[in-house]
Amino acid sequence: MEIVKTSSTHFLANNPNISNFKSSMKKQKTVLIVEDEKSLRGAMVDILCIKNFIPIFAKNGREGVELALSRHPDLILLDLVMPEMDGTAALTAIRADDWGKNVPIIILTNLRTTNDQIIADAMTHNPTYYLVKSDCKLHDIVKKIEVVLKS
Amino acid sequence: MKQKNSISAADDIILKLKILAKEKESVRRKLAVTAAKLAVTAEKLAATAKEKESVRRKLAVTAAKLASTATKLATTAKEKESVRRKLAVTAAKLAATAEKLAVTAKEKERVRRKLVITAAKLAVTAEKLVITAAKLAATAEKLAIAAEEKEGVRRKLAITAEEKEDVRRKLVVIAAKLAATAEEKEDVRRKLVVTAAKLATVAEEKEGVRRKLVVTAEEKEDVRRKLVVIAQKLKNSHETLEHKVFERTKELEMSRAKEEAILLSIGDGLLVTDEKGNIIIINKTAEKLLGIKSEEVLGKIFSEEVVLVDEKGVVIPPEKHPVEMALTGSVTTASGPTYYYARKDKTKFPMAIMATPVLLNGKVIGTIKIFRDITSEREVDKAKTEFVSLASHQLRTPLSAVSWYAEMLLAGDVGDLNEKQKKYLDEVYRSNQRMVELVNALLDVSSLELGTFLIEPEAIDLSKLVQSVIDEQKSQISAKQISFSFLFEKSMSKMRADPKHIRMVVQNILSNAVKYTHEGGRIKLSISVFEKKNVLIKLSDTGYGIPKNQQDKIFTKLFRADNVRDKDTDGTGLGLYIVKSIVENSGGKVWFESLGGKENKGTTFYVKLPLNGKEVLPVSI
Repeated sequence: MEIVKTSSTHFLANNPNISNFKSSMKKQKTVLIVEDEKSLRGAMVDILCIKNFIPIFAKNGREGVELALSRHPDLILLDLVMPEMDGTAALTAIRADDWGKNVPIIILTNLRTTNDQIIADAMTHNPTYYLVKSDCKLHDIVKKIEVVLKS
Repeated sequence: MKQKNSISAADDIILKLKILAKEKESVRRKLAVTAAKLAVTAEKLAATAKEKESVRRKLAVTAAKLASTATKLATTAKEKESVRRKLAVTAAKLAATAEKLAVTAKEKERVRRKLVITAAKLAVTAEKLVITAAKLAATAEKLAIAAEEKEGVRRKLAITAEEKEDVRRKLVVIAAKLAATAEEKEDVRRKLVVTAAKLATVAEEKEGVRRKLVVTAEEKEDVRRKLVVIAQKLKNSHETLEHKVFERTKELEMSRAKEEAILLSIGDGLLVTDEKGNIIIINKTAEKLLGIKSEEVLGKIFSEEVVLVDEKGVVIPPEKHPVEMALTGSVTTASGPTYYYARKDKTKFPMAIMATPVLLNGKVIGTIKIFRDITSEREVDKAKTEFVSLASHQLRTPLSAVSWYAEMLLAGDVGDLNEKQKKYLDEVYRSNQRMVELVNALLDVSSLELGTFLIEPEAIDLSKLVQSVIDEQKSQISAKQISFSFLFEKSMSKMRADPKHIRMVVQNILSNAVKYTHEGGRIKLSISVFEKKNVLIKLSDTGYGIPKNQQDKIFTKLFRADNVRDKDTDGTGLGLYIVKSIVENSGGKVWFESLGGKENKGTTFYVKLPLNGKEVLPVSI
């Protein structure tokens, strides 16, 4: 699990130990980002911070499942192609959990949507939604998160 | 006085007697005259009798002539004897008639003589009249009666003359008939001559035939001799032939063995069955591929010996086996789902199977099946798919990063930028977007070409979808000051289609229109129901148009028309290729109208799509 320094100007990921930060932001929603690609992960963490979410993140599926089940985020952004444990396996594991079966999970991928076995398999495990990274703006992702959390 | 009276009475009587005598004298004279007249009449009658005699003689002469004619006819020919006899009879009859006539003439003569006597008697009587005046009247009466009788005789004679004339005419007719009969006889004679001539000819022909028969008999003998010679030759040929057949059989056996060796050595699996599906030939490759020995399966039903399964290991029922389908349907099964053969050792491998019915005179007499292990091909296909997947993921990840950070910068999420910075960053962002588009297009094409294009129709609001595409391109449209109109048929119910694909189609044709239309041009987009079951998207522009000689290539992958290449416009040459692929895979049609060759006449694109959508499943590889 990577703990991003709070001093970092851009990587404003929150540390679970910063209790005062968390308590002061009571209405803030926690979003777990599971993404192996550092640059994409950083962009998502930053925009979520900017948009007043509490981002937590994992670099692969295994870490993502651990974080999800321990931290119970309000929403999970899940990549599919990752080392150690891929998104589909992580999705399966989370959905198998009592808490996890209802958590909103948005799949974020750069795989082809028109025909990809990985996507097709992942779709069988009840993701809430799925987005193609290159086809949507960062702000579109935020909007989608807001819509899903409202409903 | 009495005396005187008697004297005067005597005188009266004398006077009366004197008057009476005078009257008698007058009567006597009148009678003499009458007698003279009667004598004249008797003479005239005698003359008439003479004339009649003359006629009779003439008739006798005629009869004699006829008799002579009859005689002449009688003497003509022996074969005319019967005719002659008839003629003789006729002549006899004529003679009889002549005799009768002669008798009549005699009777007339007799009458005449009686008349002469009567006349003489009358003359005597007349002389006696002086004595018996009283007899005169009676005599006169008798004479009158005699005259009447004469008149009757005369009439009879006249009638007799007429009868004679009649007889004469009849004789003339008979003579004419005789002449005709003679002619007919002549005719018969001539016909007989002709018949005789014909008979002579027939006799000659028979002679000819007889001679020919003689010749034929000679020929037969000749043929028989030739046959004997031929039989000998045939015997010789037969021996030679037997020898040749023996040699040829040896050759054929060699050839057959060679052909069998060729069949058995084919690199693909080869399996031949009879019309019932019994295996009759199985080559070495097939044995190896299926892990069976020919001895074990020959004569057995193929579908019962080899288990065919699909990708998931589900056993294919025998009737779905390509061999069975070739047998029952008489069709060649080449494509279709990929089947796997499960070997006895539980391993399986993917198969390309082609089963063809063997037809003889239109009847299926068996099947030939060629199959091969396509494991390596499948691996190549899998590598291709993985490459697309990998390329998609790996290429788009850095593009996404560039896009997202530029987006945050431009949005001022991390502080304001000056105009120049904004402009440059915008250029970076747009170029990146173009790169994203290009990569997406290339990946779409790869997908299409791999046949892995999945179309997932859902209920869509076409108006909204198209409007969002228009909104995306609004900035480009207004930048080129293009007048744009969009007409949407309100009555159109919601359609089913794959929104991603419809979006791609509209994006492509609209961006082409914008890209290839001059500043200040015009673009018209309309959507309407077409033929009830379809939606028609019509997009007209006043742009560069498509050159006529390149119109048939416009949907070709990577093709760009010369006129737009010269205009220094961006383009991948993939858009219309993708449009066509999507539309046709969705059960629709795309076409265009362009007055090519003449610039700036514009182009109109038509896209027809079914309203109810069409699910197209990918062909698994």
